[in-house]
Amino acid sequence: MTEPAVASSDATNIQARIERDGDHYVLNARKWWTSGGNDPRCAVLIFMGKTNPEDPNRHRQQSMIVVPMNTAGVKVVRHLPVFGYDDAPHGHAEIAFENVRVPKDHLLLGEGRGFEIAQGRLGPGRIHHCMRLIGVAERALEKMCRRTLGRVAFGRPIAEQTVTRERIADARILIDSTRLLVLNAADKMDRLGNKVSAKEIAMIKVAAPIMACQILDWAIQAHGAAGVCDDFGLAQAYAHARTLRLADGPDEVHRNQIGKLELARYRT
Amino acid sequence: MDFDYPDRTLALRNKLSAFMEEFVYPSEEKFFAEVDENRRQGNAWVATRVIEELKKKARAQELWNLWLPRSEHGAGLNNLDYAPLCEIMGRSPIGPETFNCSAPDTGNMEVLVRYGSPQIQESAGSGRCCAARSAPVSP
Repeated sequence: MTEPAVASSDATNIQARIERDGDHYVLNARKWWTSGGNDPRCAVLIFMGKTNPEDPNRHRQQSMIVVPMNTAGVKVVRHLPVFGYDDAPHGHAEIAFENVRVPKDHLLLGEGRGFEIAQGRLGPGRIHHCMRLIGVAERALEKMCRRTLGRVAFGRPIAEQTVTRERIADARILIDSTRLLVLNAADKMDRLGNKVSAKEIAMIKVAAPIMACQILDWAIQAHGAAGVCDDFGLAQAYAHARTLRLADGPDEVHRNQIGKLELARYRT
Repeated sequence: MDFDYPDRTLALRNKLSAFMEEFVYPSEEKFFAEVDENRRQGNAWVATRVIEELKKKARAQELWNLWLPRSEHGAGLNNLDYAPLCEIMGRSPIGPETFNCSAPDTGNMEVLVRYGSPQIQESAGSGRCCAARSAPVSP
C-alpha cells in the first residue's frame, strides 16, 4: 500500500495504477515498506492501486490485486533498514512495478472495492500486532526484573532502588491494562465484526506500541549500555515496536478516528 | 463477564509455552548467528535452517496457523481465544514465524482466504491451500 512519493497515511493519495487491458490488468507503481518482499520464499504480494481514479467517491477508486512475484516488471529495488536492522531474511522492500501484466481473475472482490477489503484486512492484522506486542513487553519486563535483581549500584541492588520499583510497577499496570483493551477489542470483533469494532481496534493500535516502547525504554535503561547492543534483544525489539507506531496506520490517523467517533455522539 | 481463559485456551497456552521454552528461546541465538553467517557469505536473503526446523516441529505438534478463525485451515479459534496465544509467540522475535503466525502473512492470508478465488489460493499456496502453505513469505 505504501508509496514513497505520497503521504500514504491517507490511502486515498495512492498513485499506483491498475488498468484493464483485455484479459489482464496492467500495473504501474513504486511501492515501499513491502514487508517480506526481500524474502526468496515470497510467492505473491497483494497490490493496492487505482482502477477508477475518476470515481467521485474517493473510497471507490482503489482495488486490490494479487501479483505473483515472478511476474515480468516486478523489480525489488532494495531492502529498507529499520533503525539499521535489515530484518533478514524477511526484509522490507522497495519495489518498482513497470507494466506488470496480471490475469484479470487476480483482482480481489471487484473494481473499486480495495478500501472495503482494507477494512477487513487491517482489523485482524492490527490486533495480531497488538497481541504480539504484549508478549514483547512481558519479556522486556521479565528481563528488567532479572537484571535489576542481579546487579548492585551505590550499595543496593538496582531492584531495591525506588525508581526501578516505580518503573516495574508502571510497566505491570501498562501491560495489564493494554491486555484488557486488546481482549475487549478481540471480543467485539468476534461478536460484531471488524467494521463495527473500528474504534476498539484503533484504540489498541495506539495503545499497544506506545506501551511496548515505554517498557522497552525502561528495560534498556535498566540494562545500562548493554541494553542498546544486541546481547539482550531489547534494541531490536524497540526498533520493531517503534515502527508499529507507523505501520498499519500511524498513531495520528487512529487517534483522529477515535476522536471523530467520540465527537459524533455529541453532534446534533 | 468472565475474565478467566477457557480450558481449551489454557491447555494451548501451556503447550505453546512449553514449546517456546524447549525449542524457540534456545534457538534465538542460533537464528541470529545463522543470518550473520549468511550476511558474511554475501547473501542474508535466504531461508534459515533454524526456522525451517522449528516450523516442522510446530506443525507436528499442531501449533500451526492458530490465528486462522476457520477450522478447515486452522485451529478454529476466534480472536479472543487467539489473543493469549499470540502474546506468547510475540515474546520471541522468531516466535510468530515458527507457528506460521507472523506479520504481514496473517493479515494477507486472511484476505486471500476471504476474497481470493480458488485459483488464487492455489497459486499463492504452491498447490496447497494458501492458509496452510502461506501466501507472501513463508512456505
